[in-house]
Amino acid sequence: MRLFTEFPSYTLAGLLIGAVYVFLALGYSLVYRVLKLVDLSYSAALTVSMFVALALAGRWSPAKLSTSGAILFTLATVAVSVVVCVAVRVLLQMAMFQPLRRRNAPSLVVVIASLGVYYVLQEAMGLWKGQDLINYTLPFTNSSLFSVGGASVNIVDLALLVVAGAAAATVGVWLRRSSFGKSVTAVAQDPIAAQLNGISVNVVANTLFAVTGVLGGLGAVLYLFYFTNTSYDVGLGLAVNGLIAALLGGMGNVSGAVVGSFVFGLVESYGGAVFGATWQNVIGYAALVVLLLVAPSGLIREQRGFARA
Amino acid sequence: MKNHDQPATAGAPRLWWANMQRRAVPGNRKIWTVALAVVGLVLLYSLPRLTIPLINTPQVSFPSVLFYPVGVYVLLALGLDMTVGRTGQINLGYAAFFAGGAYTTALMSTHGVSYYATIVPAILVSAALGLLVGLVSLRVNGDYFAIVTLGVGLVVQEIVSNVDAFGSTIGISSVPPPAPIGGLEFSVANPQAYDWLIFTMILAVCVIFALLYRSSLGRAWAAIREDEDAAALMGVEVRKLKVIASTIGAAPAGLAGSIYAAQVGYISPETFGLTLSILVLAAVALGGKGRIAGVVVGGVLVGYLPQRFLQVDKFSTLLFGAVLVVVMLFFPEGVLGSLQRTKGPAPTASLGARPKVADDDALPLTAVPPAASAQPAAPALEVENARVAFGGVVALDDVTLTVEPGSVTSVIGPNGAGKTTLINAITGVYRLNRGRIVLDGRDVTGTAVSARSQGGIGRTFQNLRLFAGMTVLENVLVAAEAANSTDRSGGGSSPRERASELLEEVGLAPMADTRSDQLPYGAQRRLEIARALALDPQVVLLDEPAAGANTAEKQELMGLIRSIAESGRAVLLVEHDMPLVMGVSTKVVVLNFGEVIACGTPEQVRHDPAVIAAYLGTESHV
Repeated sequence: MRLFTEFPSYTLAGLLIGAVYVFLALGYSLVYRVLKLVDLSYSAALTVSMFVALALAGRWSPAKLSTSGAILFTLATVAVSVVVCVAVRVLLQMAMFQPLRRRNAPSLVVVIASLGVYYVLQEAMGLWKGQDLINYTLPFTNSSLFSVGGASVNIVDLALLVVAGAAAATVGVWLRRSSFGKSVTAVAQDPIAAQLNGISVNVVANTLFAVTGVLGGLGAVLYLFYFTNTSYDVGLGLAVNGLIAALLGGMGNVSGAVVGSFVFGLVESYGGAVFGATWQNVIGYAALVVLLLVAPSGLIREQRGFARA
Repeated sequence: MKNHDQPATAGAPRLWWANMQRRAVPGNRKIWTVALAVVGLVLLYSLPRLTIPLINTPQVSFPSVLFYPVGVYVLLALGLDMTVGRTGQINLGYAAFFAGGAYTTALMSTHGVSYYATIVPAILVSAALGLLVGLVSLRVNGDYFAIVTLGVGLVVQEIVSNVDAFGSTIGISSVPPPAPIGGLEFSVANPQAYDWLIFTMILAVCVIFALLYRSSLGRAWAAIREDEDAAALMGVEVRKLKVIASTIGAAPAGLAGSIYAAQVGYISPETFGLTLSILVLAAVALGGKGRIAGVVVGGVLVGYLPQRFLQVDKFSTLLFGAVLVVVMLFFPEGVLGSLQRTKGPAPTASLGARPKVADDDALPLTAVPPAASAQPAAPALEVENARVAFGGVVALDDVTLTVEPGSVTSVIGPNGAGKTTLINAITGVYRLNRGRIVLDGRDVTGTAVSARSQGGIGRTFQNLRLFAGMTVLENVLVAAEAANSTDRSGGGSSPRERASELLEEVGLAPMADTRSDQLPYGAQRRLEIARALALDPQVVLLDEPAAGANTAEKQELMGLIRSIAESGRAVLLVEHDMPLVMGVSTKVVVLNFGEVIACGTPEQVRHDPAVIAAYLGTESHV
């Protein structure tokens, strides 16, 4: 069976796709934890970042760069992508989610509104660069670094795993240790009480959306580096998989999002190996449905207060 | 509403309004309604034949647009609204139910079964899928459920596109059209026939659903949507009703899938993807969830507008997204919902009539002789050695108390003493770690919340938990009907009669048709009491009913509590207001840190040194 003969390759592939999901799952999970809203527009912000990175690459044809030039250009791409994503996210929070929150909009309204934003961003990208698959030229040579049991790990693979791990760890420590992290927890548990204690829900929301923007910008660039192509409508699949990964782990906590992402990536990869690539998606989704029936709050449970009466 | 030809009497304008709305439908108005309906139907059925340049669709013929997407979307939106709009669950995988119907008809009719014989199986397959999803909804709630349904939708789509029996990615082709009905041919050359068929289906679904929503089932669904926990406490069987809604709600998708397969003759998996689920959900939200007319309008808008303005194809999805954002920001209840809301009755500022309770001390609730004078009756409610702990925090420890019929037992104690926890333990919201709850001689310790409320426990809430979107009458009716579904309710009167009677008693009859969240605060408190009494409970739990009440209102409340007890019910009152407690109670139980520290008549408790130390302060101020 292929799974056993090429186990390391399937494991690596699963971990890598899991690392891409980490950026998405963290974004959905953080926003959900605090503001209790499912923001379907998140993955479209990543698409915007990807398209800006594409435009950058198209303009300065990175194939002809020297080594130092390549490093500089890569860093510039990451920076621009992050800035764009943060801008989109914070703008959205201020222009849309904040007014919706002020009106106490029910979840259906928030979901549909964020869906609307998703479509606007996606279609705008489609109008900008067309609706075909667009190839991305890496600004550097993606050479192989080392291999584990026959699975070759190259620069992008390593970067993806390291950045995903580091980003998740940073966010986790920041939420747990910093005083801002305490404000976030306070808002998550009781927004009104938090406000009465001098915490501005809007500031918390803006900051969180900015943080998800950083995560999204990093995720978008790494996605491009890893897959070296994209299209205007990648967001839908990313949203579905990112949400499912977040839910698998248990929505609302950082470790849950990370665990869920890697588990989902591995389940997809192994499942695809056993049942064939066409069944890859079904296995992931089916795993989610089954898991939630057994453990409704995901693999890792969020610490909460008492159930309300 | 044009009734200003009659002068309103100065004293009771509201009363007059309420009566007008309920009873007086002038005879000739009825005729007009019928006439309008007939004209509407004629117009609707001639629509496929009309060629009006303004409404014509540029790329696909108008009659086929009327069938798909318009007609199909309307059917789907109607079905989806049963869960989204009625029980309040967001479903992102509704296209799976549509696929169920379409594939059933396609498979059966390509194997020689007549189209008409496939309709019922198609509906059944979809309903079965709905049943499954409904069972899932019992495990996962809210936004989680939405994402699970997303997964379900994708799984169904992937399965049909990977299994050869379903034609895998190619789908199923040459699905035969329905046989002619009385000379009416179903063919590509005659697209109107399909329009008429689907219009008829839509009308049938509308009528059936309208009847359902007006029934006690519909009201119970609305109660679940407004406040699931409170609904269970009012005796609504939340779990069962959610599954029923999901099952029935999937049926229109089966119907739509069935006729869709027969019309296009060819189905393939990509039709049944996430995009369709999202479009249908958008239709429900755009038009206005929870309203049949709103949902129909939403389905028409989402189905028709893109077809009409297809010249701007490149921008159509972008525009669609922008419209979603704008409508959700400015008309969160949907196009029709917001229109109706602005036209609706203005918030009632003051009470039309004061409650009768204060002056009429005998309430005609149920004629049971007062038990207070007789020898102590068997307790209606017994709490034995109850213990409730949250992690390490013990909220109730070894609490034992009884509440006798015809008496008022008050529970007092400082904040955090466990008073509300006690009520939650009695009603089943919290599970006991130890001990028993005995209701009328039956041990109910392990039973569900709704079973206890149907079994005779009614309660009010410290912070009001009315069904905000429903009228005053509907609030009471939900509980009355839940009680009626058991054979416990003694009197022969219908739930509606009982509900009106109760409203009369608490002085809210003139506002029966007002939305409950538009009542003033004191009236909302009285409505909660009426709703609790509608269960015809042996035990009434009142959780701080005097909170926020003024002196006059407290007086009225005292009378109301007395008359509830005099009607033979056992009242358990949790209250901070000492004059009220001391004035009305037969027995007072004092809780401190989750333990009973004193129990006795008001007089005994008032002089108990332990109570004075723990609660009343060094000297009694009552």
